[in-house]
Formats: sequence, structure tokens, C-alpha cells
Amino acid sequence: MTIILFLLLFFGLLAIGMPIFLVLGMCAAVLYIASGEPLVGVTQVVIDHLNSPTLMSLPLFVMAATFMRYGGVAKALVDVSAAWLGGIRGSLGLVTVVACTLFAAISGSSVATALAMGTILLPAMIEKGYPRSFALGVVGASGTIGIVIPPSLALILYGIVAEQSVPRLFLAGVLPGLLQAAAFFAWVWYDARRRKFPVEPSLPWAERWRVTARAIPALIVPAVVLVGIYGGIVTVTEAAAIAAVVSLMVSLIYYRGFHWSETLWVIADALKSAGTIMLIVATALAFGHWMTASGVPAELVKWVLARHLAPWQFLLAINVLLLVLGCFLEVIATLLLVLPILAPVLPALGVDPVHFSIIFTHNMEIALVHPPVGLNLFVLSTISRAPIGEVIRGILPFLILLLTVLMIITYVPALTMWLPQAVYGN
Amino acid sequence: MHDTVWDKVERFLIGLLGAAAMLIGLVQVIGRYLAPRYAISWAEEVIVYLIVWAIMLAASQLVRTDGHVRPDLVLRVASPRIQRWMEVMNCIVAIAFCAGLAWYGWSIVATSWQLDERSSSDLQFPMWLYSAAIPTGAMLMTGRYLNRLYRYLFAFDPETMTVGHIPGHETGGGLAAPPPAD
Repeated sequence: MTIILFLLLFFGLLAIGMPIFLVLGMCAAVLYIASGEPLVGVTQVVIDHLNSPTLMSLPLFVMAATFMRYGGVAKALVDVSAAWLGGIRGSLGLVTVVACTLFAAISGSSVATALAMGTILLPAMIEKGYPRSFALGVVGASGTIGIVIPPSLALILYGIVAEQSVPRLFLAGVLPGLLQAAAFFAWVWYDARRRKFPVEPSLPWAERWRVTARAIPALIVPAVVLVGIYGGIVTVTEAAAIAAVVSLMVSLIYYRGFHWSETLWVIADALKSAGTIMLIVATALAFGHWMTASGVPAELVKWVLARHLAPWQFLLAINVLLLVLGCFLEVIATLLLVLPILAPVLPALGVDPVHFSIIFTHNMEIALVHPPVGLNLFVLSTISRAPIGEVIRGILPFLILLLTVLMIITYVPALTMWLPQAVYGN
Repeated sequence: MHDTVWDKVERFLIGLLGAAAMLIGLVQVIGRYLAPRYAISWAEEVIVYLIVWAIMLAASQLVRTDGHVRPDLVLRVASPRIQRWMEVMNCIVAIAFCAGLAWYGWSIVATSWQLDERSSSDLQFPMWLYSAAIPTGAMLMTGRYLNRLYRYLFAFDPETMTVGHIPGHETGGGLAAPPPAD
């Protein structure tokens, strides 16, 4: 009964275009009333759950990425990739894949990556005579790498909701992220030869080193984060704060993308965008709190076990469910809605939560470029003024690659688990 | 949309709180390894208080700029007239929720104040000061939504007040808009 009430309310409010945090908050409030709990509980849960240092790493990482974006780091990363890939057919497409992967290691978000790279590389590719649909496809698809390569905002949230170690999740994302980048790289290389894309002249060596030197300060940020966390020197939250400070310094002193007097406004801008996520997190956790108390996850475990589903069947079913949900909901909302229900089910079915985290986030990547409502599709359509259909056409080959990689991630757990196990043991 | 003085104050405070959080993290790490005598142990706790306050102020800004993430699939296809009434409905629910959050939030703050509840660290930070961020933000949002409701009811302009936007949160902030220079 309460489930039906919840589903009606949830989809009803979503349909009239209500902000996600309000949808979740209202659902939580109504469910508290329906189960006879005092409403003050909703507020109490919001206050308690926001009081989490790990959660604060998320706005700090967003701050770091925003400094980098205003600082003009994207340009430096594009230049360094172009310097080393010049002379290969279709090099600008390959540059997009490599530069997006590098940018992903600085920014924790896919759309931010697509946006930063798209504004530089889309006009460049179109000017050089690449087909526009290809240019849109490669930028949109490569942007999604941002969600699995650490630092990843989605993995931080996964760690909080599923009570997993965030550094471990970050490590798990590395190899699947690189596999995806490699798959894209290979496809672009093949497609470029097949369709005779232009060749950029290769740069002299002196020039290559000069451009590389210019990109090094930007790459200090991921280096600091990785050494700090995996050297056991700092916590994830401290690493995020340090990443923000270093990106600010690099952007102000070295790249000079904005003036120091604008710093506070840039921070305000960053925290506004982090704020949208944090409010959803707060209300979703209030909702998740009710969900756990309601016993729905326990029922689900019983139901799944009674069906005698093999883990691979369960994973396939979950993948399909997530792909469908991803068509309607946005990444953070899907994660926060589904995970409180699924997390308790995983151990009972013999699925490792760390392995599942990457299946989940990779799935969300697909949701970002999945017609009809993938967010990256709209970002690209907006910045390029191309019709959405053209973006979708360009992204289709990459969508097939993404689905293939998803299957590999799902059914070859070693790809995900090897690195965290090598570093932390079992 | 013109920035009022209060908008600038809000954004300035958000920036200040964020900068403070970032620097306190830096001080903690530097202190621990380079100057143990001046090391602080409560940085992560204070980062939470600063950022939560900043986020709750940002929530108010987000209502003003319609930056909260929302699925606009149905809105996009609806006519401006229908959109108007969907927005009115949205605002009413939002006002109910935010006002409730503020009301219960203050009761929690008041209890915390009376019990003189402190954090468990060396800092002994008064918890009411942290909790107060949530009702404050909720109250500001209530005000913003009341303003929005008024505009949709009595000053509706289909040109500028119907949707077709990209949610701002994943773009890392306002789309191509550079930070204001002032």
C-alpha cells in the first residue's frame, strides 16, 4: 500500500518537473506520515547525514574542477595531446579521447568534462572538415570517462551510501576507465582511416616538449590527490581540500585564467553547482533511511533468493533496470534512489560491492549518452546548436562500445577488482 | 535578472565559507607534517560546518536562478500556459516542504541550544550553530519560492519564464557565463 502511494507520488511529482530534492523530500515526508513517524525525523536525518566529512570531499572536488575550468586548463591538456598525436589520421578525434581522459582525472564529473572539452574541440574539428556528427559523438562519449576515473563524484556518493572505502572504489575505477578510453581510441583510429579524416601536421620535438611542460602544472593536481590518498598521507576530504588549493594556485599563478579578485565568485559558482548535488543527497538519505527501516530491501533479498537467480542473471537484470531508469532520471538521483535498496542485497547474492560500484557507475555513463534524455546529448546540442538527432547519430557507435565494455566489466570482475586487491589486499 | 544587494551578499558569503573550508584543510595537513606544535585536529569537523552553511545559502541562490536539478521532459513539451500552472503547483509544494523543513529545523536548533549540545572533539563546537544552517537555508528558499510563485501568478512572461535549460550542477556551474568581475 505505502509502496503504491510512494510510486504514484514519486512519478507524479517528477512529471510536473519538480526539482529532484523536493520530490525525494516530499516522498520522505509523506512516507514518514504514512508509517506514523514524527515529521521532525525528516529534518533530523537531513541534519545528521550532512554532518559527514567524506561527503564534504564532493564540494571540494567540484571547487578544484571549477578553478581548473576557469583557469583554462582544458586548453593546455588539448595542446599536449595534440602535440604527441599529430601526424596520425584523425588525430583531433584521438586528441579528444586522450584529453578527456586526462581532464577526467582532474574533474569528477562527466558533463563538466564534455563541456570543457566540447567548447574547444568541437569548433576545431568542424573547422578542419571532420563530419559534425562524428565530432559531437566523440566529445559526448569521451566525456563520460569522467565518471569512473578518480576522483569521481559518483563513486564518493556510492562509498557513502553503500558504506565502502572511497579510496578503494577510486582504484577500482582506474582499469575499467582506461579500457573504455582504449576502446574509443581504437574505434576513432579505425573510423578515421575508413572515412579519410584529415591529418594534422606533426610538431617538431622542441615544440612538443614546450607544450608538455605547459601542461605539467595541471597534471600536478591528480598526482597530489593520488599520492596523498594512497600514500596514506591524507584523508579523502583533506585530499580534496588540497586539490582545490593547488588548482587555485595553478590557475591563478600559472594559467592566469581569472584574476585573484574573482576567486570568491568562482568558489560561489562551484558551491552552487555542488549544492544541487548536496541537497539531493540530503533528502535522498532521509528517504533511504525510511526505506531501510521499512524492510523493503530485506523483502527484496528474500524474493531474489527464492527465485534462485545466479549472480550473472541478477547482474543482467540489474543492468537492464539501471539502463531503463537512466533514461528518465539523472545520475545522482538514480544512484541515491536505487542503492539503498540494492546495497543490502549484494552480499547475499555473492556480488562484491566494490565490483558493483563500477558496474553501477559505468551504467550511469551510458545513461548520460543514452537517447532520448542523456544529459550529455543536451549539453552538446546546446553548445553546438546541432539538432539532437545529429548528436544521437554521432554517438551510436560509441554507445555500442560502451555497452560492450559494460558487459566486460560485469562479467570479468578481475578487471575491476585486481587493482584495489593488489594495493589493499582482500 | 538583476542581482540585488542580498544576492551579492549571499554569493559573497558562499565564497568566503568555501575559501575558509579549503584553507582549513590545507592548514591541517601542513600542521600535521611540518609544524606539529601548531597542528589542529578538528579541521574535517569545521570543514563540514563551513560547507554545509555555504551549501544551504547556495540552495537559495539555486531557487532564484532555477538551478536545482529537475526533469523537464514533460515541461519541454507542454505549452507555456500549462507550464505556468505546473510551475505554480511546483512552487506551492516547494513552499510547503521548505517551510516544514525550516519549522522543524528551528525546533531542533532550539533543543540543541537548551541542552548545550557540543561536538565530541577537542573543539567542543556548539551543535546548534551547525544545525541552524538547515532551517536558515530552508527559510531563504521559502522566501525565494514565494517570490517565484508571485511572479508566475501575477507577472507571468512566457518569453523568459518557460523552460528549456541544462541542469547546472554537472556543468560545474553557470554554463559559459564567466564569473562577474565585481
